Amino acid sequence: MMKKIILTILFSLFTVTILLAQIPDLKVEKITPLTSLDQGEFFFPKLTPDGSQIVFTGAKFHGLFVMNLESKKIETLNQDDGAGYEFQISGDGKYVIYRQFEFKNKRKFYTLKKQNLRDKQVTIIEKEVRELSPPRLVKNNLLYLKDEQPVKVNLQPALNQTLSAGGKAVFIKEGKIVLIDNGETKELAPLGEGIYIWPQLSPDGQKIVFTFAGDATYICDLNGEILTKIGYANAPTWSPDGKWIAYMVDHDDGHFYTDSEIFISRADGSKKIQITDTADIIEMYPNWGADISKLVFSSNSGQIFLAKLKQD
Amino acid sequence: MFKKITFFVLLTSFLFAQDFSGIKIYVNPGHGGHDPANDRYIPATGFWESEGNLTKGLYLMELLKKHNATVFISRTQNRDQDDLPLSQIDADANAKNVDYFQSIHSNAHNATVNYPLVLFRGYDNDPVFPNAKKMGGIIWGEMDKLDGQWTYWKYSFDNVRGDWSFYPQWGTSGLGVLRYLTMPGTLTEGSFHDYIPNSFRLMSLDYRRHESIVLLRSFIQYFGLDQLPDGVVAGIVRSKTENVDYSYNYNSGLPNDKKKALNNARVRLLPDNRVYVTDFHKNGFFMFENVKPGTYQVVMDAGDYAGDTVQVVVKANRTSFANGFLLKVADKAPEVYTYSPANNDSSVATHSDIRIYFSQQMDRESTENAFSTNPPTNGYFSWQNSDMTMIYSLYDTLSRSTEYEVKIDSSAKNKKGKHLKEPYAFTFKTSSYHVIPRVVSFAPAADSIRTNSTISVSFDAPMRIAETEAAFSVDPPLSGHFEWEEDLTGFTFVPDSLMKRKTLYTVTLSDEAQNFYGVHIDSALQFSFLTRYLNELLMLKSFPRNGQTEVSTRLQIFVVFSGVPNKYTVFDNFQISDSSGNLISYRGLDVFEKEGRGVLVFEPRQPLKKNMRYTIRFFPGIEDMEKLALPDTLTINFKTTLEGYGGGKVLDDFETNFGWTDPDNNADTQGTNPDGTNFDITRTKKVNGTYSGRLEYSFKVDSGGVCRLPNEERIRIPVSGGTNFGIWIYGDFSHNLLELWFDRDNKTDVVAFSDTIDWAGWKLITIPLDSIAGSGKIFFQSVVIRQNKEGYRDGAVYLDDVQYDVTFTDIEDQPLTNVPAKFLLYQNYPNPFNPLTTIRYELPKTGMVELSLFNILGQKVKELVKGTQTAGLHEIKLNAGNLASGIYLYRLKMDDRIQIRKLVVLK
Repeated sequence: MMKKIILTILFSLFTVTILLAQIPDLKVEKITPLTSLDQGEFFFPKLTPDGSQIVFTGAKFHGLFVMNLESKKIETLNQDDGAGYEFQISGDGKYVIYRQFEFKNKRKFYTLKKQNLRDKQVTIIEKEVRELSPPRLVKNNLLYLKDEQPVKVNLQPALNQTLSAGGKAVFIKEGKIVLIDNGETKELAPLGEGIYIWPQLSPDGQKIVFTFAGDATYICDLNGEILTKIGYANAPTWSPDGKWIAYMVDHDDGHFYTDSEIFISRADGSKKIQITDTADIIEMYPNWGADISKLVFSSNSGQIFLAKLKQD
Repeated sequence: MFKKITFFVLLTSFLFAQDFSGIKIYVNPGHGGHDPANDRYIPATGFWESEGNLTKGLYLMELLKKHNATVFISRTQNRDQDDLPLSQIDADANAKNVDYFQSIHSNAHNATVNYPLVLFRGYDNDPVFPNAKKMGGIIWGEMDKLDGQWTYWKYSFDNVRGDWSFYPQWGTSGLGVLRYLTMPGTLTEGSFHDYIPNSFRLMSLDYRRHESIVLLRSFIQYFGLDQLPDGVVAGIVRSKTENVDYSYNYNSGLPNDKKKALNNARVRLLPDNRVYVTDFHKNGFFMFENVKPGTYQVVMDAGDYAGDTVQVVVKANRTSFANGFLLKVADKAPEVYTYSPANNDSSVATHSDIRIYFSQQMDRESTENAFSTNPPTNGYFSWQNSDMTMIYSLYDTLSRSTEYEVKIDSSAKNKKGKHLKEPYAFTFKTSSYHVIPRVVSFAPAADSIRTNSTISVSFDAPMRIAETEAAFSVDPPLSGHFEWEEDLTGFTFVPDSLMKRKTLYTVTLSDEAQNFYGVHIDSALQFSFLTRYLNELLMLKSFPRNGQTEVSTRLQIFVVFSGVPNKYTVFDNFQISDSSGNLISYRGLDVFEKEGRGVLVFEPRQPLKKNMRYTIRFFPGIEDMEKLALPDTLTINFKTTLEGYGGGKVLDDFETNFGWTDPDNNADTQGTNPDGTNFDITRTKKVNGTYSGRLEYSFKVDSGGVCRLPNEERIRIPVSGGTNFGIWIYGDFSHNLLELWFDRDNKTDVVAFSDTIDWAGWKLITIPLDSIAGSGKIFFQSVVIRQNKEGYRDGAVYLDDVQYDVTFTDIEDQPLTNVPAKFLLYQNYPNPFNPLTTIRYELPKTGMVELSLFNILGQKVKELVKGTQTAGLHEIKLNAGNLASGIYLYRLKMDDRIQIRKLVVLK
């Protein structure tokens, strides 16, 4: 207990808020480590929509685990390889949808699964498919690309999404951004030929944040018109109100990660706030919950953290 | 059930597949961009790891694609932007759902060892992906089959390691590029690039390609495919007796590395009669790919070395080695080793060069005379590689669909006078069409261009000068001359005189323009442009502006004109004077173009006096580069600051860098060009001491750019109120926003100063400490330049003497007026002079004036002015054509007031 308190204090000291305007409107209140390295290595946390639980994965995206934020108790949901890669939590917080991968004769095959967070019961949606995108929950449907074609599945019971992105979804296909909008498929390459990664639709479904590898992170509209250049900002993700982007600013020497910090930026690029500022922790891969005051992320060594933000 | 059968069929088809169809592999050539901080360079050999890794990666991709694999690669070039962050590489590989990830590197340690290393994610005996360890073992096995030829591993165990075990200091974080993959991956360090003999080998493109072939064989084995039907023959040609320098540190366990590897050695593979000539990078490396299994003779020789023959047995999917050790001999006859176009090539471009590669340095004259083609061709010779390579380039194209025979008879001699061993001949056939030259760019492509502009056209091929110039015309006509690119791929037409203003010019290049080989451009080019309207040089803005007060005494005068002033017209035509008419000496006069405008800058040699009126004048002799003249005298009156300041206790004198860090590394910095944005300590400008800090910035965006210069140490102000903070800032008149940021105990990033940079030169910025929001200790932590829409995209501000306890003293004010209040005679300009100079003077009222010239004996030699003149500034030109060299005095008289100045005639 003492250790935790010390850690929390330390973090508060390390935390620096950078406000470019005179009146700050989001500020770090506290950063708390939620797991210790003794408990195992965990990555890619996501909050359930009510903010009461965090779902995260292990090394190699292996398995899914859920932590109750009050009791801090960690439960294992599954031990599937790849389960932690771009998994989705349903709007009612009852289910996770994820891809499991396995290698047969060195070839990668995916199985798409739905799991109940309470009874841990698993339903298989697609089995052993070579070409299967990560799933997206869109309104009451599940959307994904199978053999590069969009597939819409109406699941029962319906898995409504809190942040519906207006019934649209984005994927990466053949190095481009693919927007699926009510059954229509549109390929976007807003900056021409190159490597597009980390596309994500804004909660209102009107904008896409993406990273153009070797260049910067941008926000574009649904026609691929650039609206904002965020700058060097990796693994960007939207805030629930669509006004902010959280991301990591990671550095490496070609072999190892040497440093990474979490930042948030206004979606119009007008303000940036540094969330973490530590010399010894490499903070990465942030995710916002449905409540703008909670931002979760993991460290390169496998610890999960919760940043509490307050509106100022 | 049906699904199960389908899957079984799918799996079975994989098991017996002959190729990589359906398999997806991600290739990551490590590092990139020649960034010394993130790349590895060996000066002794010229090797960059980023280049070596890229060659291997591109060739591996080519090989895998040839065998129907789906391949993705993290970079195909080696620019700054190709050096992707590791997180982006992993994100790309994950998004593409690949089956395997391969990162290609070379290694470095202490320049004395050279062995392969294969790394996978996890502990040695506990891999995160077991298949990655398996693949590591396969790669090692394939590399081990090289049998210690070019790398040497002295232990019995495989050097295939889990990154967590290999780099224990990184815990379970390990190699960043393997960290977040959703598929097995390996990172291979094929050999050591700091071991000099191997570093030279890595300069051989084929040595790099051989590593790609090894990786291909590994993938074939990993995915259970049929092995390659052919083999490779490779080896190194060395001198039998000569050793390399000790500095090569050749004791890596490879005994042959002590022997000198031979450049330009010939290797023949018999009976296939394939020829390979080693490169000029001191590696002696050769390789024959796609050799059918069987027994072969490898015959090696070199210019001054006797031959050596090695027999090799080639096996499928393997490399067979043939190392040659050649004895140096005297008086060997020169030979032709190879040539291009290749013998019997039937689709040779009609403008191709003919290249002959000799075994020795040749005598140019006899060799050129020994060369002939049939049918005859019109061309010229050039030489490379210390006269071992002769290049025959064409004046005219070769005929289409024609067979040519190239001969070199044995009259060709080497430098020692020895004749070619035997005559040589080969044939080739040209293609059925000529490659047509195309215009790739032309200028001016915009309107409102300056009248001193030039016209340029560039092509994708070298052009014939006479024909192309003849095909060029301008309407209305312009006389001028052509300046050609050295490689004849473009020219610039420079008009002899300025073009007319407000005129539409049309440029035509008819289809008579032809390339170097006589092929015409496919169609005529025509473009038009309009010259600009302006007919005089205008001042657009200045610092100080006319009438400005509170100007710093350490200012720089910064004047923006519509065109760039010609510096030679400026010298004699401007002055700065104080309110008594005394001229102020200046330094740092410069003119330059800034964002399409002309800028003139200079600064007073000494700080100006406080609370004093000064006048800057620019006279009509000033012209810009287009010969547009200033129409009238331009006067700028300003007054220096009233305030005196002192007492400042210096916290950072910028004589060395205390904690200021590169703005590019700060997260708030955005929209900047890294090349043009930096901070350094410089002696160019300073208030006190020898140095100051220079913050140079360059925005690549139109708006919203931010350049934050942070101080990591944060400068603690010893007091927290009751006095003033100060910092000298040399403004760049950029009209961007300058901010000074502070931290307090309870508040960070307090912007206590924010102002447009509308000044040039040094200015002391002061801030009352009490005005800095928050409470507790005060730290000065950043200087921020924020881009204004109307601001310059690049500039530099200088910083000096961060201080506190700055106190002020007021000095009595003086009225400022644009009308001269005094009777003033200015120093003539230029001085000394021959024969013309200008004398200027000011009169306080209308009245009778007399201006006369006297010699040193006091005799009046010339009356310059005598009559009634109005109040204000006057000037007169003095022609000293009839005066002898020497010192003269000129005297201005009005009522009872007289002023006298000296001038010098120098003939």
